[in-house]
Amino acid sequence: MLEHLKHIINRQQGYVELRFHEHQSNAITSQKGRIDQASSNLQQGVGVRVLENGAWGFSSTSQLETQHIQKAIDIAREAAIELSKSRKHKSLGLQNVKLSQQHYIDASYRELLDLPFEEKINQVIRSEHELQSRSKKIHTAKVQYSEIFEHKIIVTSDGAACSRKLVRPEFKATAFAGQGENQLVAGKGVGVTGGWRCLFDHQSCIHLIEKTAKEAIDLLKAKHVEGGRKTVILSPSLVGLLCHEAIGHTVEADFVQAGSIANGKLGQDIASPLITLCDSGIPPYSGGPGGYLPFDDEGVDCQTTTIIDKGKLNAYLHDRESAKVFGVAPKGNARAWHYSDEPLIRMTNTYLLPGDQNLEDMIASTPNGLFITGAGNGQADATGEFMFGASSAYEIIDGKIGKMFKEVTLAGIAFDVLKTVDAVSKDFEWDLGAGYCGKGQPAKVDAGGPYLRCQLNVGGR
Amino acid sequence: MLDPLNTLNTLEHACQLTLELATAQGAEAFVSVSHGIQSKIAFEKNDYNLATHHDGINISMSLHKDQKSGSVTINTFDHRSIEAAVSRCLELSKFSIPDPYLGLAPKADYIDLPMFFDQSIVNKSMKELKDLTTLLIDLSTQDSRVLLDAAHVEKSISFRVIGNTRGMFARDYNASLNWFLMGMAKTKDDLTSIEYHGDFAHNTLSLERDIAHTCEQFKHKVLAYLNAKTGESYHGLVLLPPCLTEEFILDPVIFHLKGGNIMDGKSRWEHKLNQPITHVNLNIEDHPHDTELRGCTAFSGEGIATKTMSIVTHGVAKAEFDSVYTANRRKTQPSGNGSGPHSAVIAAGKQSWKKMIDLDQPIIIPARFSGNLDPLSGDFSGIAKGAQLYKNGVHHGCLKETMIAGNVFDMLTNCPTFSSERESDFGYHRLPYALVDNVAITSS
Repeated sequence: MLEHLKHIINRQQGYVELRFHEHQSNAITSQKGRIDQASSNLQQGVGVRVLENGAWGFSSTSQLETQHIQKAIDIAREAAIELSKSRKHKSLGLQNVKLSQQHYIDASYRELLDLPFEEKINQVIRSEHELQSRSKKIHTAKVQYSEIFEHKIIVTSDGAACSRKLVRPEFKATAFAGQGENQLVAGKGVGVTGGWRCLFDHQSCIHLIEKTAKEAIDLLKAKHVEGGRKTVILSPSLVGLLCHEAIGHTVEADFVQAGSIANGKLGQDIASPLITLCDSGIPPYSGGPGGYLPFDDEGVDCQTTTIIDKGKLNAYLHDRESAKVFGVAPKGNARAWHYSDEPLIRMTNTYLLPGDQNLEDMIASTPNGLFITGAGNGQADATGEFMFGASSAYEIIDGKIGKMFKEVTLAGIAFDVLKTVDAVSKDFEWDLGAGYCGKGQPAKVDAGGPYLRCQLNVGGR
Repeated sequence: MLDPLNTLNTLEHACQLTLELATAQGAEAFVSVSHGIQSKIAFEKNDYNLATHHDGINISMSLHKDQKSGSVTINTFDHRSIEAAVSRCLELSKFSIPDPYLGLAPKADYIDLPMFFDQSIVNKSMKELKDLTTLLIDLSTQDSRVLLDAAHVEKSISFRVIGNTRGMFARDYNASLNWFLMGMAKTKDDLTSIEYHGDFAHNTLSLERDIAHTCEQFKHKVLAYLNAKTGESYHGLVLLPPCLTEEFILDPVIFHLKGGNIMDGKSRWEHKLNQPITHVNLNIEDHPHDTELRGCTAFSGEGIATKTMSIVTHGVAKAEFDSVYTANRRKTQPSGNGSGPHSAVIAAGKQSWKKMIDLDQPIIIPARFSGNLDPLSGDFSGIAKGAQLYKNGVHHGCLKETMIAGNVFDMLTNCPTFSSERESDFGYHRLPYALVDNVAITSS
């Protein structure tokens, strides 16, 4: 396929980008002793992007023969030409960068492909039985396993010729528990880039099941927290969500160009000096993060972007076009979900660097606050206002952990919140791999970091 | 010129082939074949950013053999690919747990609904789409305080054929123009939250007027965020606009009336059919044959004929949503809307929303909700975006950093009041404003 695409590209004029993508996702869901889902979805094709007369055109085809790919190129070119008549300013083009020649195959790709489906489905069925049996108060247990095999080949007219095979498995356990009218749901998940063993590297499957069951039972007795501004200690999953939602989206260069809160703030102090926040497709921390990426969908090798450096806004996240506008080097943040999607600026693995404090000391030195764990959904805004949900929180009184609260919502203005950070622990954990980022199309990402202490608005009754 | 019948015949052939291959392997099967064509002009980064065109086919199949099920979706439909997909499907099903309740929809007659396939939409060129995008951008940014993050106009054409080994067979096709705006307001001292708005059309009869209407509503939404002030914290009334009536009233009702959730013990309304579940003010119907709404369809995703039906009448549960599978398990009939209503309509009230809020207490009207809502417990907590404060019917501006929390089932039982006006957000459902009580409003 690589030679096939190269052969086609060599016949083209101007900038042309061909992206072959075979995306196979398999999923198994077991609930209440049933198999609700045993499915496989294979989407393959070639996405074509053309820059013509300073405007972009995009087309795609599921048919891999030369004439069909050529037809897609012609359609994209015609679309670009039409668009160029209305553009206020021609695109400046793409930043020059040494483009990827990598041919990367994750060691786990074949291992997981060859692992018998029977073994995967049996693990899901066993885990669901295990979760259901933990307590009579759990009336429904649900366990889901999914895996995405991604095979991409990217060839561009200015020299990218690279390929990758990655696999991203995920495992989620959900317990529906209730006593009378008091009903709730608790869930835990793990997602990595890697194989079956990587999935349960950090915690075993049974440990995940135990934690899910315990949280569901404990939350049944928990009350709602009182709302207001509070001192909070956030766990790594919530730190990851803060990095991703509250900061990450505002520094995506397309959002910056549209006028996000990060616009015009490079070089300014926007956070506590304890904060250094990065995004990287190849982060230094092990654990096979869920957004691992050797090169992006423009053929740019991934590197680490230090977004905030000791409290100062240092960089945005770019594709090659925005990198040219800003006069910087792109670091591999252009990503597309399916062959039929155009690449957008996306995060990969977004994280805070650890500090030097012990978590125990941080708790002990908090007179009155909340210790918050278990990230839920999150959203962010152009203004930097963010919201995210947490499954549980524990009160801290006089430096000691106390009673549990349920359904906690946290909100604030990102840069204001980061200025209030006064303690960062020395731990590190990836904890958002079983999630997707949405921006018109999904993307597999991960996020994490240490524990940190800050001030936030807590939504309550 | 794109001929729908030719395209449907090609899809039908692929559907028949799949069913035959499944039958040859001793399996029962459901197959859905779809062909979608989308062309779009996208405005991003303050300029015409991208023109896209996509033309693709999907075949989804679900096979049952020995009371076990597997499903596969592919996007190529040559004989070899379909054959491989059928084998893969059976392979997936082999290790599943036997389930005697698996089933397929029977053959049925469907109501004759008009197909929306206006050639003036189908034949829209990239240039024409671009001209419409220009109109969208120009009208929405007439006020220089409005900043667009993204906008697009898209032509979408779709064809669908479904069939199963029980002889069920159905097909439909559709062409629409969709437009969308996302942006914020910005002044020297103020940058607001993001807002978005959009709509669609099945014909071009009033296209420019419809686009203009969207732009007007979008501008109004976005500019209403300016000069936001911090408010007070209290317990009290919130007026939900139609988009939030969907989130806080409609969606929880749908969740707890779904057959799947009832059979799994997740519903609070098990054994509540024909009994009161909410306040008498609430009346919900499903109108799947309403041609003004996007959910208009003669058949469900499985091939069950759709029908207009009452879901809640004066607070009493009148229907539950059952697929073929959940109907088999619960020994009832599939409802034709097993995933929820195709086009929900909540009955209007007697007063306009402006009259409803003319009360001697503060009332906020959020534009959007950014938060979490637990469908099981009904507890919610999050940010009320663009919340407008009213007292005695007088507008007191926009509030910032305001959170709301409460329980939707409290709302549903404590006399929610519905407005005489109704809107359909992005063309789905037709819903009124809803005045609800006992919400905790927290300001920073």
